[in-house]
Amino acid sequence: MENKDKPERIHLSAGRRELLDIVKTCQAVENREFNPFLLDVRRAIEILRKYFPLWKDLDDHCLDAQTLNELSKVIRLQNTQLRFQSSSLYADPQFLERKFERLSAKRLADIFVKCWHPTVELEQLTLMTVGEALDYWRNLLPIEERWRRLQLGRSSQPQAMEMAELLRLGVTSTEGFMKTLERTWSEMKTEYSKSRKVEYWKFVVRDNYSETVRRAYLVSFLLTYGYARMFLKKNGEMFLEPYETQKVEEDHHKVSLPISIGIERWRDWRKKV
Amino acid sequence: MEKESIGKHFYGDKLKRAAHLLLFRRGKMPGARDWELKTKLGRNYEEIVNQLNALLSDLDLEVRKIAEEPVSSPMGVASTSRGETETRFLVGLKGSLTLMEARMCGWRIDNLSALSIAISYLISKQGKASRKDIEKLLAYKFGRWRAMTLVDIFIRSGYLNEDETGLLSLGWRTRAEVDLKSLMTLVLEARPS
Repeated sequence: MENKDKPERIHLSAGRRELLDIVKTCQAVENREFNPFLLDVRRAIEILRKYFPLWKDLDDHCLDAQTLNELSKVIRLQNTQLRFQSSSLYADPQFLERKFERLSAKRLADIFVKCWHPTVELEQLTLMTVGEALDYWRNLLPIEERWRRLQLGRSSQPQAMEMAELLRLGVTSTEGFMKTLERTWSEMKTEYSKSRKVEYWKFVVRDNYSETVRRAYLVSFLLTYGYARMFLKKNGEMFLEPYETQKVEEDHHKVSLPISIGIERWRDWRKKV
Repeated sequence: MEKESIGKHFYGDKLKRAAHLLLFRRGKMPGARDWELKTKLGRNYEEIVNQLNALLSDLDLEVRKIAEEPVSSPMGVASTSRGETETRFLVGLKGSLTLMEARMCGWRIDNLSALSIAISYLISKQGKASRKDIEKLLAYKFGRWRAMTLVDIFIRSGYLNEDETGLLSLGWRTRAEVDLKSLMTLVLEARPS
């Protein structure tokens, strides 16, 4: 008896699952996610027929009715699509997409105005809208009051800054950017001539965190502009190799490699280096 | 005879009232509903509207009758909560504008071309498509941010409708102002210049 019950229960849950799948597919078709003809309605009806004798609970019968209702919506959509395809408005959406890509904005606007008959409408002031506007201006607080409510406080007056202060803040520099790049490049070449090997982190990491970030920034420019190249080993080690002269490579040889320099990571590397 | 003369005087007076009702915007949408016209002009309002139409046709304008926004019927037949169909009367341009005139009315070329793309794509999808698809299509020509703004503009002005699931459909203004058949024909015939 138990053995007989078990397969029936499995059968029931499988049936419920299949019906729910059909309902979901039908709803996707209704939301224009799929073509209505992608759903095999005949097969769906066969599934409904197969499980119908097993339903005993009200919920199962409701699910059966819902599935049938959803299927009828899909059939209606199939009918609408057939009628639409036989009408003069039919155009393949993909074909249209390609067409839009090729047509200029002016050409498309020109087409649109030819079949556009805009509505004439006059907007006017009414006593009510004038009253509303008057109320707005009457109730509006003076500008000083509104500033006070924002609690902005007094702002300081603009002041002149010394060059030394600007240099300290890093807003300006005494040498140009290209000059700094060249300096870093020659430094890299010197390092390379010593051991024919420049380890990235060894080259970049300095005692100061901001200096480390600045060097990493400069190295990234040297690599992008073709003054040096980078090797990445399987164990994650990174090496730099400077070129004697600038080399311009084709774009398809280039690969972007983001390197994160968080303050924690910098501390770790500082200990190692 | 007496009745006829009274009728003529009656119509002349009501023609002005009909013009005011149809031309001056009062609510969110321009024009007037059939029951509004019936209340203000009387039972023979359609006859008055026809007379107004004849007068306006000399100015390249016409009175149009459109079905009100369908509430629940997906087949496009408008009906009220009581199950009756409702119509709105509008005054529109009989002919068409030139591109220069449209620009002088405040329309940008980009907006017009985006609108033609959105409408024709929606028609090709049988009147419904997801907002994401349309924005993607517009983004190719106008950029992502502009595409999003354009769709918002079209929804606000009534050219497109958006439902709660993010599906876009043709709005009341498109149905009232755009000759869909000729739009599709012209788009399909167009060749890149």
